[in-house]
Amino acid sequence: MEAILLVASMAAGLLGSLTGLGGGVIVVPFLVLGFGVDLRYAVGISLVCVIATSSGAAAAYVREGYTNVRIGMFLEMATTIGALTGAMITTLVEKKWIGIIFGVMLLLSAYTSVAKHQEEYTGEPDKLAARFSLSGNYPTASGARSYNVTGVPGGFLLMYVAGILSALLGIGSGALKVVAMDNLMKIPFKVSTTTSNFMIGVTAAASAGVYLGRGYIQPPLAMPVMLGILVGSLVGASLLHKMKTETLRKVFSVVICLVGIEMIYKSLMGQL
Amino acid sequence: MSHHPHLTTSPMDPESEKLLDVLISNVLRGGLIVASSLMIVGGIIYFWHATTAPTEYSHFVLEPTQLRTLSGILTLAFKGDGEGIMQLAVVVLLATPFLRVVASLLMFLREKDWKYVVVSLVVLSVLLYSLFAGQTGG
Repeated sequence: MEAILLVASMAAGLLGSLTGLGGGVIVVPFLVLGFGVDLRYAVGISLVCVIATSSGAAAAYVREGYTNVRIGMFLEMATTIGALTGAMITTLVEKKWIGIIFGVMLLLSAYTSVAKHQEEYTGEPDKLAARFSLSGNYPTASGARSYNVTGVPGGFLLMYVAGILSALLGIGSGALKVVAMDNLMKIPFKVSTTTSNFMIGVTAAASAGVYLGRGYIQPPLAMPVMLGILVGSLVGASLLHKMKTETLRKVFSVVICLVGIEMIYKSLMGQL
Repeated sequence: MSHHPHLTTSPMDPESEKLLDVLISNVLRGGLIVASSLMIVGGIIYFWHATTAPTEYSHFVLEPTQLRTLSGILTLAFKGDGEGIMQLAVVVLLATPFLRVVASLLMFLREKDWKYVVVSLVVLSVLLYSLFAGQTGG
């Protein structure tokens, strides 16, 4: 079983990074629906994988200068407190509901992965953005490009919810980040994507600590999945520059929709 | 060489900003390498000694307490137990983002950027609390 898991995890990591959906959204359903692993184990293991892939990708992005470390640290206050809240309530929430919420998040992820990017914000920074110096710039082909940030209170609140969902579902909550950082705070796409990736590791660590202490992380299961996802996502990241991923993204968002529907159906039928 | 002069409005000069980026990047990369190596070593030992039937994961059974506390994991890992070493890899992985926040805290302290010293401290305390709460809450 471990060898199959290793190969399947590599495929999941590869797809996760090529489509921009992230590992967790793929790992959890494939462990639960594909391998019949209990949802709570799957979430615990997925959190471990999310930390690994986030650290790997963030190590490269931070160096390249896309990540805004200040925005990251500022919003991490919201996501980590959210993650702690989520990890605390996870034992109180019925498994059925976790399955349903997961299905809904899959549908949202499918939508945001094909949705159009926002126009870049050219206005003034809002009060909080100015106070915490959240403005920044990022490298483009024609030199550094600067940007301002707005809508900080709304974005902060939504990132708190993203933290809760990350802990409950074992995912990076990339879909909610798109709404919070791209749509509300108007952060340029390249910056918001890399900064959100930067934050995911810390957010997942805040809840994974609680999962570990409660005995939800099984080392023999974590090993093949974590190594597989890591290798897959590293390969994916290196292919990303050389490939057109638009078609893959579209096809895969349909698959994710179907998986989401199956997840909701099985939860309602009490089969999870 | 600075192809990405950082935040113009930030109180930090570009040199330190670059230093912070490199420091963070190295912490993340180092943690990942250590964790993966431990995972591979632990996995090899575990499957080498595996004599029992494969474990069932479709039914939820809590881990034995030894694999849930830091002291238990360390004791097992130093005995050369495969499961203990794999779980130590998970602990190293969890510690990596934690160390990343510590690294940023030190840089913000050096820069006397007090607002972000406080921000880093808040994030750090939440992480510490999570590890502590996990250890005691059954």
